[in-house]
Amino acid sequence: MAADEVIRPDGRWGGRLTRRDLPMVGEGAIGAAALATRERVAEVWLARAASERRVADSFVVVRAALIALGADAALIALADRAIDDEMRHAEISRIVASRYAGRELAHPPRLALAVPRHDGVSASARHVLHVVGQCAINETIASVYLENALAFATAPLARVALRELLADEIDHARIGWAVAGAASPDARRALGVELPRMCVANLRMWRAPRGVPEGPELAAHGAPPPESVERGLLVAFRELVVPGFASIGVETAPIACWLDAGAAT
Amino acid sequence: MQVRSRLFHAVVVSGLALGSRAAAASAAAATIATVSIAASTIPVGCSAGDPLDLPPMVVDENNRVREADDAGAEVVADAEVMDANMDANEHDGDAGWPPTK
Repeated sequence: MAADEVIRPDGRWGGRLTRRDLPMVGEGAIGAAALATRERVAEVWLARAASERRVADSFVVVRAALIALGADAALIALADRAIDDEMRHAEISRIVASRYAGRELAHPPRLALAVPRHDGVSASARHVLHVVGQCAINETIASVYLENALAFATAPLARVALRELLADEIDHARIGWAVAGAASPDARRALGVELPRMCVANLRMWRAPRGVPEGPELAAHGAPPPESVERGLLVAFRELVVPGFASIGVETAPIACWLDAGAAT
Repeated sequence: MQVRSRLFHAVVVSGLALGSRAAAASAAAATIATVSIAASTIPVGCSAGDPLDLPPMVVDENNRVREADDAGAEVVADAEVMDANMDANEHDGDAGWPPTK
């Protein structure tokens, strides 16, 4: 987060970073963790800070898309709040990383955001696809990921931080389902065509090596084991994304087949 | 995985209901505007109400999804309560998916 980027006073918690105070380092699991483990956990959370900051940029795109679509003002307001939410997530993650590291860590370099072009669809449908891709697909999967991370986390600092993130991701995902359910016939057709590619691309992103430490000793501190992450991703697609889109009449058979065949990316 | 049903309701079903309510509110607002323009002397007695009254979600100490009102006070919204809410929405024609446990 750059110096000119601050938590907004009109954000979810009225300018506060978190709903609950983040526990201090000292007693408990974090204090007992070996120094090497703490450094590795710090790397994980600092990488998360970079990702969260990029998602804030993505919600700028989502907000613009909702405005262009003439969406209900409350949905636009929720997307606007989501920008601040993600900025808070970036800062929460940086603070957690710093506490594990035992020193103040700088914000990680800002990651570039690549917005899908979705060639061949109308401008209106493209806006819908951008909202659905970020919110209904990515934030839904993020919710499952964070639930999974919480199931493994025992360190108080990690648990509080993960809960803060998860609570917001649920709201963010709902934006996407709200837009998908109310999409025009044109946008819904585009969604049926583009959805398989969007799902593959999203899963590929989640699976992509991030160069961050992995290991069972990190699970207690908010970095779930890779095998459980993979299981959770597939569960998210099978039991939330696919039935969700099927419920609104979007063709999901190709996605189901892809999942049944191993979900290659 | 217990969370799946809860997350499906918290994310997908609630999101679809949110969209339905937003669309209904927009339509109602358009209707009210039309009525107001066409017959401005006729008082409009109906209100669209709060179409987006689904509160934000928080996650509690026991890793359960809860709803928080605007003041931040928590209202327990466990799976049963959320199912009941979604049932009500469905009866209103707002939900696009039958709630499942």
